[in-house]
Amino acid sequence: MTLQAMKAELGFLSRPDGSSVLTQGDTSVIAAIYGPGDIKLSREKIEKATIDVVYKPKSGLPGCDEKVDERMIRNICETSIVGSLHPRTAINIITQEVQDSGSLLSCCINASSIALLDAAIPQKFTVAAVTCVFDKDDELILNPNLRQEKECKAAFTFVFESTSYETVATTSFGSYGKEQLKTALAACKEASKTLFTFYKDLLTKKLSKD
Amino acid sequence: MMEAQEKSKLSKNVLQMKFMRRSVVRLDEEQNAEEEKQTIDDEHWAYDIPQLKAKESKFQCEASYLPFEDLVFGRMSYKGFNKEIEKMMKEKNTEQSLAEADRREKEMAVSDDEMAERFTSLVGTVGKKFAKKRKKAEKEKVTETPQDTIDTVQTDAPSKKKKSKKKKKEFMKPNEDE
Amino acid sequence: MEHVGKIFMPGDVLSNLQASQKSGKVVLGPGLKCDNDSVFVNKPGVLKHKEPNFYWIDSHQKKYVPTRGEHVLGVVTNRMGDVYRVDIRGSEPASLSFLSFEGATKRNRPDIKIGDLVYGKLLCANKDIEPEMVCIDSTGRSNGMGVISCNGGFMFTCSLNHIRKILSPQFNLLKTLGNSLPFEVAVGMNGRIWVKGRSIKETIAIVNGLNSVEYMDTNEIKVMCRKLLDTLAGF
Repeated sequence: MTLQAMKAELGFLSRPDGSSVLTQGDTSVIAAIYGPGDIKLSREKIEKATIDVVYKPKSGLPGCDEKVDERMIRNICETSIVGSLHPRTAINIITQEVQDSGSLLSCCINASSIALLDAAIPQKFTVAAVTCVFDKDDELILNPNLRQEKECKAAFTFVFESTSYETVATTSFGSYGKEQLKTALAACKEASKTLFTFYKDLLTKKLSKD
Repeated sequence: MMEAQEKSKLSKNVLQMKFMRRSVVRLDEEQNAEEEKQTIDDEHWAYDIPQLKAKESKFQCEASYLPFEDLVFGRMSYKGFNKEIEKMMKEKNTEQSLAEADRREKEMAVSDDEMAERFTSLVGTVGKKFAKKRKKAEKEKVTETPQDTIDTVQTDAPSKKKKSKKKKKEFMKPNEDE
Repeated sequence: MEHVGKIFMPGDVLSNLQASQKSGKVVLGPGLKCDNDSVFVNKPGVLKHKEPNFYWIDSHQKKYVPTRGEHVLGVVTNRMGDVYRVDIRGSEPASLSFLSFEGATKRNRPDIKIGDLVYGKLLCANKDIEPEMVCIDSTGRSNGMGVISCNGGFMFTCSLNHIRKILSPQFNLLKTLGNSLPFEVAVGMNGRIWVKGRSIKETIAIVNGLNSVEYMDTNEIKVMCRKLLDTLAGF
């Protein structure tokens, strides 16, 4: 099982310290990183960097669901970033939805991960997220589109790290059995490896310019 | 105590007078004693435990790019735009080329250690050569002072040199195997 | 050794690093971190090596993180009693005492206004405390540091890797331009460059030149340089 075609560009925006645009299938997200930068005195942490994530939907204001996603991305980035190297600073991550055709959360996480690489923020590892669903025939689909997401019995998003491919975060929806969880995890883990090679190829392209 | 207070109130000018000399010395001593007491008090607060030893690491971390990339100084001026900077650039350049030349010379030249190393092996062979010459010389010339004869018997290096110089100054061809 | 010149990602582990024969130590630069006895990469980039035992990751970064000993180009933003606040593009402004200028005394203060450009060295840059900047060396001489004459010139920013490229001894753009144009530059490790030429036109030409060579090699720079000079001369 493979992921759909991915396209990404590093340094997509000129103002932020790191940015990326990632298209997975038809879903597209822009991510931007500012930092390590200035922070309000009230929000600074004395021993590590404060990481802030903002998720901006295509239109309207972010609702409750978006806030949950924001929080998840923040927690993931907090585990990957070596925050202790930049105490009393802020690292801002902004993700902007361009087009949602399913698997938006994993696309956001991957776009932020690529943007973090572009900004050269010190990290313990890189992360990659894969979404999968079980459709009504219990068939496993990786990175589903909107319709598949709506009609599914269960949906999972797993986030893996690059050193030993352990799970960093996971979220699920719907009803599923133990075996289903296992197959979904195994399939997503395999798929995440292609993402890590994809990241490396992107960086190779960026760094080979000079 | 009261007295001391009174004394300290005496003005500098009064204390400088000749007849006050002794009290000045006494006052100084008192002050010294007090200071000493103070230092002892400071020590009293120090921990009496062995210092924590940092674990010796094989790695040394450096945050800056400076020791890694040989970056040049960031202010530059060309064609006399800023005379001051240009002068400094020139100085830095000559300094750099001098250092470079020095380094190259060091690579080419023989170090003192190497020299010593080489000569320890040479001393024996060259010494033998001189010893032979010496023997010949002894046979030819017997009109030597007794002290010199003792020296020759001992055959130690400095006297040999002296003698060879005395005899004749001849150009010694260096070894060509280098 | 076989790793040198390859691209590494955060989390990769390095082994077989060549230690110095004298001290048995390995010097790790930016982008590398040691944990007990293994070396981790924490920034994506190309692994570089310098004899005998220097290793570092050459990464592309825009944000400046103040580091001790680096020369930076700052903008004076505020004055608080005896110290100036200087923006050096880090996470917080650096402090610059009015006494750390050549020939400055309590009576004889340097003439610095808010908004002035200062070229200085970071005396102290620790992640936990505010960076401190000075405009004199250890002998008390300015050595090219201090306030940059504020009339004229143009300041712009670029990525930190580009700055390192400009400051590398092999970089030939400024030397080549300097053979036919009189001008002055100040390059700060914090990603700021200040250029001043004879006229606005020439200043802009030099700035454009500097901006466009980020991804060029030596020969391409030479060609570009000639074109630039020809255009300036009116051909």
